[in-house]
Amino acid sequence: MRKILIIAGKELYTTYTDLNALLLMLLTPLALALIIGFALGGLGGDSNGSDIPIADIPVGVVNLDEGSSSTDVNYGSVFVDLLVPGEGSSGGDALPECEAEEDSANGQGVTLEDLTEGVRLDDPAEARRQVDSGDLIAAIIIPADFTERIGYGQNDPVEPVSLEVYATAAAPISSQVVRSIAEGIATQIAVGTIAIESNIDALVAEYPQVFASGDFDPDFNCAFTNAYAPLSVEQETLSGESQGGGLGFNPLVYFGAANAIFFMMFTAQAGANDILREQRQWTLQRLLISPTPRIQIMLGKLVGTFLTCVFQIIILFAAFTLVASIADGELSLIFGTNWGAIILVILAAALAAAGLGTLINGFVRTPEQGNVIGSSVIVLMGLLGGTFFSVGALTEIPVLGVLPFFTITYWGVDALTTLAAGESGILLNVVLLVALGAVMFAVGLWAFNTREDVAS
Amino acid sequence: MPVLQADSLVKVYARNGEQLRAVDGISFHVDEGEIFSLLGPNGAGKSTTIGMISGLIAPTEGTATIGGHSITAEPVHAKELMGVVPQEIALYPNLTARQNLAFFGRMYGMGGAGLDKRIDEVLEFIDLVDRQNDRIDTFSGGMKRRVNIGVGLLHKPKLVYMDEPTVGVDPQSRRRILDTVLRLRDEYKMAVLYTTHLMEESQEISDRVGIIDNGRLIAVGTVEALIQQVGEEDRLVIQVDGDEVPSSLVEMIKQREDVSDLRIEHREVEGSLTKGTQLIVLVRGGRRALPALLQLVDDAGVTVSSVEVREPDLEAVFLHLTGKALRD
Repeated sequence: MRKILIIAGKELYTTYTDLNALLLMLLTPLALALIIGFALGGLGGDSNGSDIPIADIPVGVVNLDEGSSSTDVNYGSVFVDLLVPGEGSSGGDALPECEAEEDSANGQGVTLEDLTEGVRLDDPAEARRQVDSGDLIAAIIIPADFTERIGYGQNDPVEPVSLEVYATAAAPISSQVVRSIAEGIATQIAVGTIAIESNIDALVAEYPQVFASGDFDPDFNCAFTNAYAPLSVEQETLSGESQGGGLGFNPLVYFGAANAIFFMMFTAQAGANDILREQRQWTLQRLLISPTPRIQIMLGKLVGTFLTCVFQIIILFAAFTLVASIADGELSLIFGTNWGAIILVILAAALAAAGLGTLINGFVRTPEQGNVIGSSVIVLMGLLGGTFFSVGALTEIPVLGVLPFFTITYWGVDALTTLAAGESGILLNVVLLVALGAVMFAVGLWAFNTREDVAS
Repeated sequence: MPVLQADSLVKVYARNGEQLRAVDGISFHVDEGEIFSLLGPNGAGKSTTIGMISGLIAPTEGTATIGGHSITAEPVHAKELMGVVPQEIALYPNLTARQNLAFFGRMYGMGGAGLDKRIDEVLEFIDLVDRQNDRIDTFSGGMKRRVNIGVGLLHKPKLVYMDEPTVGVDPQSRRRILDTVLRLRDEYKMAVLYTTHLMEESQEISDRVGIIDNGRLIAVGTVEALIQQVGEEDRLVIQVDGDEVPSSLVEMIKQREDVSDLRIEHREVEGSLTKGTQLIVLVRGGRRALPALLQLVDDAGVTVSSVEVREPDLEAVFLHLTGKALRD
């Protein structure tokens, strides 16, 4: 055991004192994740910065809103009317209709109908099931007391209300879009209510005779649309998105995790490839000549690679958290706070990556072969596993759709985004990653042990 | 009791469907405090033999024991008794000399203050105390060689294998390495198994020499005993211009009573694009026979460019035993 740790310690030392290795291991994934994060918005305080063309996101809308007890207003219907094509006023009156204006507020000419493909559902469980099965990207579930708590027509202050957005982690960008839409609609309803009520109160006080005459036009509130549309409400007024299993997506979480795992696999590949380089420079033979069993040498290399990967991913996660905190202006634990589970996933992913490196380099003859084949496998796993784009679209393609499930990237990223969303269902991910790592290491070790050319 | 005993070592490789016997039944022993050289041309099987003795290559047949421990049955015990200085610079280039010594020392079970003290001794021995904290990749070739040797000596082995340790070093470093080998025997009473294709090195430092060719050990003994095998014959090396030597000249030289053998080798002439030919004549009383032999060459119309008389040495022994020069 002592010699295993000595070899592992040497691996760690040589890796973390190599400037080139550090650039590749730490700076590159950090830079890539930040670039992607800024490109997609969600960093730097501007969440509208995305220029990714997203359209026809399948969304389920479950309106359980029972409306106002004192009026026939039903704010939940606003979601249905806006998101579900062909739906008119449903289940009560939404806000009195305003004529759609060409190019509403931002001038981009993109409508909700372009963005989403909504369906109306009645059962929240069915909606969640369709999200789980991949039929829907997200489901917006409006609670029964939604209108009542916002309090249309009352002078009570707006109460926080839970609005559930149940979304798949497999399509984080689309999920974020749906979440933003839901938040935007709800916020505008709340702000509009406040604005209308305050203005009407002022008008009633100023012109009581007008309102006493009975000629009040219910479409009057449309006059205020442009006034309140740019307003924003603190997210705390709508707590539903971060409660009850909803997805709190941050591009840095997904692409940070994906890039960290992607580059960790390169680190593992380089670590395993180091056996072949040591063979070329004869330090491996020198180790084999020493009174150290071959299995201890191999285990030492594996442990060294494994620990290198673990430290790499921990450093990257700390860096991503720091960046997110700077962007948010406060400590932002974007990967969640389930530390035990996060560490477990990191260990499992590192083991799987080290196993993959051992497997590849157990069968190749030269470091160059190992690099070419290893890099190809890792890039392929990255592509299929969601490093560069969400695998949500891929999983809908027959045959190809199962490929992500054979990648370390997919299971690692899935586990980490699950934990970031506040969920804890990662057991399958961890078991699969550990099993993958153990099997690949065993096969790679066997292949290396059966080689006769180690002395050449 | 010998510190190393090799018995009938055989190594067969399968290459392209054919069986290649790289080592073919080699047996020898090395006594304590003895320098034993394996002398042979490149590809003769020296490194494969060392590989089997050091546990790096599994023998197809035969056994080797170090201090009574079989390298195949008790590899850990056997390896504890031996140090290896490979032909390659087997060091981590991005670690310092001291870090390399410390790492490999720990691989031999050393540690703590004992290891530090021993590293100091070895650094002193290889004369690199002042560069101990510099990375290996900043060292000259000779300095790397010295560290390479130092690693092999760190755990005070009873037997040190040195596989062509002077390959690619300058004359000054070569001299230093040869002196180091002699000190290992004389000061530290270590046994050294030294492989080389350079006759001069083998002749200078060895107590006994094993001559190896085509995977077989063709002669073993002290330098003096081996040279006696070729008697009093000198080698006359006559360098002539051109690629061809008239057959009549060859016949006339061979017919002389004092000539026992004649070899003709075609070699590139140093500093010239043309090829030359060497007539290597094994002859008794070389200096006395030289004028007559040169006259024969001249009579045949062949131009002599240089002449050298070499007294009996291990190269002559190799030539005598194999019919070819050691450098082939």
